[in-house]
Amino acid sequence: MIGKGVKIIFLMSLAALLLLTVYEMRDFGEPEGKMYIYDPVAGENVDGSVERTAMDDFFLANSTSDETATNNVVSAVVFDYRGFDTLGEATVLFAAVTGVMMALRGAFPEKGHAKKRKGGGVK
Amino acid sequence: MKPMSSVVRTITKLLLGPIFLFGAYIILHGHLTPGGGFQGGAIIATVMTLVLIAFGTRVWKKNILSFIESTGLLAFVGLGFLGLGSGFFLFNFLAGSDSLFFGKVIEPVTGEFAGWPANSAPLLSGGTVPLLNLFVGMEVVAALTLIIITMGLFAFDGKEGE
Repeated sequence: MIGKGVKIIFLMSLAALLLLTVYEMRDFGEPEGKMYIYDPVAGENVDGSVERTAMDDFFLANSTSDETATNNVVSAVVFDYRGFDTLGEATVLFAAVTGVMMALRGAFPEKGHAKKRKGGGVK
Repeated sequence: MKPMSSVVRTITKLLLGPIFLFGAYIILHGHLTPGGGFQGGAIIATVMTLVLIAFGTRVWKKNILSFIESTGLLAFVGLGFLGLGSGFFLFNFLAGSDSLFFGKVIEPVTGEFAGWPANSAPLLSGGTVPLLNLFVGMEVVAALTLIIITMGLFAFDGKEGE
């Protein structure tokens, strides 16, 4: 077993790391901030001189106009640019329901197996 | 689960409409304001659960909910395949068209569409985004309600009967 002191030290260092991350974040609602961009020519990360990433600019420029005509940029990303991801989430929910109904199928008064069960069967 | 007392049932009848309306608003305005199909579906599922607790587990029919859930997911995939006709899977083929619903509205002054200004788009905008919101909302409502019905039937009705 790991001692209590080791656990406390580990959690404290983890908390310090997370707080340091918060300090490095850009301000709320401010797209400008210090960003590290990978420069393929120099082969290393450099301090970003641009205000936003190219992806941010693309979403902000195109989501409200012809491409999706959606006022809410978040909805445009979730349901249009990343619509395949949303389809995956819905499928996960469908699979969860299928699993629950299969595992607890004795709860429904179907023909046959409901009468044989004692615990969850309905008369 | 047995139905609860008349106090609970009366309050449930009172709260049913407003919560349902709020959930429907969150779903249908998903492309205009924060929210969407998942969030609004979860809100409507709470109403279903409230009715379930107050009136007993036999209120909702399992087959109808299964049908709604399957329809929502199939419609999502079907709309995605419709996008294949003009681009790729889940392509927003309604947004750039001049169709009556969900298309672009040409400004009368300039004669062209420049995009919606911040926070002032009409309800019929967004191309396929509101339709996908609606389908996801249907699926989430039916799925969460089905899970809760199944667990409630399994946990309570086996012992207490009805």
